[in-house]
Amino acid sequence: MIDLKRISKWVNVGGKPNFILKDVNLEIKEGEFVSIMGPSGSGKSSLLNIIGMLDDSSEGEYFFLGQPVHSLREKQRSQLYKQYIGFVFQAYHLIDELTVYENIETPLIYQNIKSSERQAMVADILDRFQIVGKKDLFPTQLSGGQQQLVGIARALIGKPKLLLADEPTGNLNSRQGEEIMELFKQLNSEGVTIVQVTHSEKNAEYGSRIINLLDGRIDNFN
Amino acid sequence: MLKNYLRTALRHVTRNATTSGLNILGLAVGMTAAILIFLWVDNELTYDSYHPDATRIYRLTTHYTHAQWVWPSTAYPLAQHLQTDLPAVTAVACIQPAYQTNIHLDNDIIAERKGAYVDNSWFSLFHYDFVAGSPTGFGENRIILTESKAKKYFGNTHPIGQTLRIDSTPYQVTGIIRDNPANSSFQFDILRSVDALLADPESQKNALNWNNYNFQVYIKCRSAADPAAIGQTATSILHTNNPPSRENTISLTPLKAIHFESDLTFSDHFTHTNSKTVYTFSILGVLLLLIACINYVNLTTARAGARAKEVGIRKIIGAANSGLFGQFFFESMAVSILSLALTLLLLTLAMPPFRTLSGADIHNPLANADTWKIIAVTLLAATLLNGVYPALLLSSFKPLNTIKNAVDIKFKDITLRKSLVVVQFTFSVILISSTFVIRHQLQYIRKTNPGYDRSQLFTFHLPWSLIAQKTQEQTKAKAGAIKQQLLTHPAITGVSFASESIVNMNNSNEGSAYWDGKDPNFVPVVFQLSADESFSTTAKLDLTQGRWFDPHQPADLHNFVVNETAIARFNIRRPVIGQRFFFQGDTGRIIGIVKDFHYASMHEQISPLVIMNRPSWQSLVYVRTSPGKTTEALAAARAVWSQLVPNQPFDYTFLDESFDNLYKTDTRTSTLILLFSAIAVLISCLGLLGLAAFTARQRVKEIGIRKVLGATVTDILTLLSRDFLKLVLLSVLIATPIAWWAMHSWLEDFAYHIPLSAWTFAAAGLLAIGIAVLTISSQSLRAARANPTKNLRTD
Repeated sequence: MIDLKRISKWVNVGGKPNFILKDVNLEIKEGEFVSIMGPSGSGKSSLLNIIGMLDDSSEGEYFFLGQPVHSLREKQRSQLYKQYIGFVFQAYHLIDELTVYENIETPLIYQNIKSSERQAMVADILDRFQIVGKKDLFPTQLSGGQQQLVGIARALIGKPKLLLADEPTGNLNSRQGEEIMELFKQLNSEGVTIVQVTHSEKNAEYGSRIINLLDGRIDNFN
Repeated sequence: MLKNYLRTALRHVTRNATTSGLNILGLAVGMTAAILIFLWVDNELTYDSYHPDATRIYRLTTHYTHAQWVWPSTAYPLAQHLQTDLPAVTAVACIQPAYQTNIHLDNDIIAERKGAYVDNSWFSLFHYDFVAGSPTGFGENRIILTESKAKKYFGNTHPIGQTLRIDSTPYQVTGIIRDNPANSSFQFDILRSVDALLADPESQKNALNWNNYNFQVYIKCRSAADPAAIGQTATSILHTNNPPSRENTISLTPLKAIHFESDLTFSDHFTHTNSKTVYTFSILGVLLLLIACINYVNLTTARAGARAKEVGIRKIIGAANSGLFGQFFFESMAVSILSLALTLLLLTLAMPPFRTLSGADIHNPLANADTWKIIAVTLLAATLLNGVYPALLLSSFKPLNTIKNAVDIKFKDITLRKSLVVVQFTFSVILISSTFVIRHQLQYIRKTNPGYDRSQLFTFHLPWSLIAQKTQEQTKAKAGAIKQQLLTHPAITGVSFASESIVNMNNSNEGSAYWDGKDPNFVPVVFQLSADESFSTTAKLDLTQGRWFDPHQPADLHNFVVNETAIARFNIRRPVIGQRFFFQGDTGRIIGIVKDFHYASMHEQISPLVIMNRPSWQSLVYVRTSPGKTTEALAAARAVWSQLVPNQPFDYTFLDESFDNLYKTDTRTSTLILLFSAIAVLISCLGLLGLAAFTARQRVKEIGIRKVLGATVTDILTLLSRDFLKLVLLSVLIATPIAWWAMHSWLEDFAYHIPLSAWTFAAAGLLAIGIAVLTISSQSLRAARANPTKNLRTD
């Protein structure tokens, strides 16, 4: 599904390139649950953002479902992204002005899905995540765990093949974090490919594969 | 999609109720003010243009070249000649405004001020809407009224065929016209035929005399006609028929230019506006609109920072730039529509006071297509600016950056927005200093001793026929008897007779003054006043040399008192007192010099004035009342009046009021400028408030760190306010020379004015700075007081 070849990313600091990622080769197959680990500044989030097409690599090739992302135009890339990828953030990033229901519904609006269909889809996911009772509340009225549930529901509403999560449990207590991880595991068993960035050894264990990143390189000791 | 946008928009508006409210209010107030100004400007600029072929209609203007006098009137017989002798002229119409029209209704006499005599062709040259009757059959004993006047005199009964008695003559109503539009120079509401005037043999003799310029004559020309050539032909007709008038020339004044005439030596009874004022206010309107829009954009973009995170998320979950563009555009439209609603409300509320304030009789602004044009253009501009600008700004952000660090966006356009604030404040400072100068000048006019005492003094006109007797002595005796009769009442402390009101004299003369040793080439314009022996006491004039007229010296009926300016200019042999003086066909001696007094508005320079005591010229009665006894004095005067002139209404004028009337336009300008500067300052402050709030938010982390390092609230306040104060100071620097120049040219219109003082401008600048400081600190203080740990944690 994902095939990264010699991906490098750098920023220029004082005229000299400062490498964030260096020569990363990575293949992720459909149905995998991959955890990316590494110390602060090791390039975990940058790698995730490149996979999620939120950011470009400075060098290298990236194939997503066989498509060369590195040479696609913005519009095609966005099309690809809209269709296949869902994103979950550490800080949830819900829109404060919209209710739970509306937050979840918004991606569908951007995908031009009809209103009746949207209603059914949102109702389904609310039901599945057991947050029907919260649908008219605003994000600020929810606990962190609940907000992250909404964030995940929003990421999943478009039925993505790939779910990317950047420290999804970083702002949650351990019980809430466990719940989210259980949910990820379940989603994975239903066929969703998941790539998560995490600090926590324990959470990383939920994945089928762990990738360790150190100073922008994949640490291949295992 | 729209529903989602609408929902977010409405929630944004309600969540940020204060900011949105300020935003909407600012725009609405700006629009309302601009619409009011443009309605007025529109009314002024379209004066008299509603008549068909208005561009081909001209008024004959007489120039007395010798004295550079300009009269709006000309000789009546000339009108007849124009029709027959000039093929380029297709129609001619005449009008003579009536000074007073006395309507007798049962036992009441009502003095109507807006009557006029017009000839039959008047109605074919000018456009009138007849709601009943027609101009056919208009003649000697016929009258045409406006709807309001017909309603006043006949109520709901059908007025056509009814009679109305004016003085002793009954007139039959033959036509009812719709009330004159506000933008018509001809505000006459009772129209009688010139035939009615000519029916009186004396008036006919006057009218047919080529030396009397009592009629305003209007002509319509063929489209190809050359107005200058017609003027020349008219001049030669005048010279051929009346050789003594060879000093006079005729020119044509376009109908649409009449409203803006400012050089008339004699009044044409119409309302005039200075075209400079119209242009000044147009600019003011555009600027008000501009700063309201600037402000709106500034506030919206200030909030863009807060919206950046939302935009980032929307982009990540799949929004295309076009979608975001649509969202912001839609939001902006929603706010615009709210502003529109508020504007309409404000407009309705502001209309009645604005009518009073501006003196323009504008009705139902919403029925005016221009109102909607102004609203449409403003809203379109505001919506575009506010929809497109933030949308472009925000959609250009990298989504990752905005969600990570929503408050740390570097706005590239901060310079632009700072310059917008400078523009706003420059405009405000100009208006504030103008308000100061104008107020100061008006105060100066009010406080300056005009050289006479206008308080507790009223005047009324006695009919000439009543005063004038066979000889000056008999006239004097007659006036003396009336004076005695008035003086018996204790509320009346002084009575005098004179030829006109000293508040605004316009009787001048040239070439009739002569004295020993006069240079024959020196022909000064001399103002003249005829006043009786008690006048200097009643009006409280100061004499610098000699004495006033003495009732016991018969020779004083031929002697003269002159003002200081006359002495300064005339070069009369010394000692001045006792020198021979010739004036208006009479010979006498100069017996006194009166201290210069302002016998006209302070716009005019004091000219030489010659005061004589010729009783037959004195029909204006001055009555001084004892303090607090005005009502009694008026009642006493009225009683005397009704004995002397039983069939005419008693009509009096207080000199205080005439004085205020002199400066009516200036006072009005002052009030309007004050109002508009208040609005401009208000809107500018809203803009500054927005920018200050934005900056405070942007620097919240810096403030937090500084506080942790030990900065006090004062330090933070200084830090945040310094940059803005620089902007306001810059505005003051730019505004001061502009305001100085503008006010210098405004004061030029006054012969007597205050000197422009640097302090005025310093005060205006300080006021602007003060207001700005208050505005900024309201925001900065909040930022400075915030708990630093809270702000640092969010990073």
